[in-house]
Amino acid sequence: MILTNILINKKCKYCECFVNDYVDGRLSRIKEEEFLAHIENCFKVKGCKKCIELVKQFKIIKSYCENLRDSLTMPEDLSINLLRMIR
Amino acid sequence: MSEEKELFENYFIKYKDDVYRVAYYYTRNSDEAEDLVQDTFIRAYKFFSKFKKNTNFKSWILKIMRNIYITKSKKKSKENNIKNHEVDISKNYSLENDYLDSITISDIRDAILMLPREFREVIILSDISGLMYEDIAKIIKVPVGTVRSRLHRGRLILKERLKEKYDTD
Repeated sequence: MILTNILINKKCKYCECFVNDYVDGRLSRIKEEEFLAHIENCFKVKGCKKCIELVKQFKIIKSYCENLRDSLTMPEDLSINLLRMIR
Repeated sequence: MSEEKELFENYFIKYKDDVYRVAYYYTRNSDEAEDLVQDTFIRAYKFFSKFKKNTNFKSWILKIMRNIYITKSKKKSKENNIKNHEVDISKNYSLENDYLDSITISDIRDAILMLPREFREVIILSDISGLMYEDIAKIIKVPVGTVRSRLHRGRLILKERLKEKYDTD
């Protein structure tokens, strides 16, 4: 309930702090559940879906970035030159 | 081959693409990226005896690379250029998602390359290189809280840039 106590009655910017932690898997399972329940509650009670949208958008952006990992590799000639240097 | 050399070679083979990728997103230019990578591996090799075994080699070498990059950028005074790209992040951001379904890998790559350096580097290190906030904080020498806030602002800017592109197309 710690997270709920922190977030209750706080403005959007406080919830927003946890969006990245959630997207990057840095929250414990309990805190994760509390965070999701909290942002859902924000929507139901205040009609605010800012964090819900941010979570969706950041997840998409993160997945695109992860796809970039395989799209760029060291050029072969540079790799050969550096390996030669090491050896 | 000595044990040290063999170990360094193993690390090189394992992390060369990661290092090159980060260099590319730092320099935004393949020629400069190659120079940066070369300088980085040469320096890392020279000081490999100082690397604490069983710690994170990727963080260690990326920290070396960042130091070299910063020194080089200062010489070229590129920092001024990057600051000119600062955007107003205090404005309200739209929250529609449709455009995110339409973007391509090259859109996201271009959008990252256009980010101001302070945000670009945390996005690269976190989302492309997959490093933990704590490792990023050590590499760029800022508190973990700063990494978190830069990542948040960086993603907001990225989202907005992608939306702008979608609106223009």
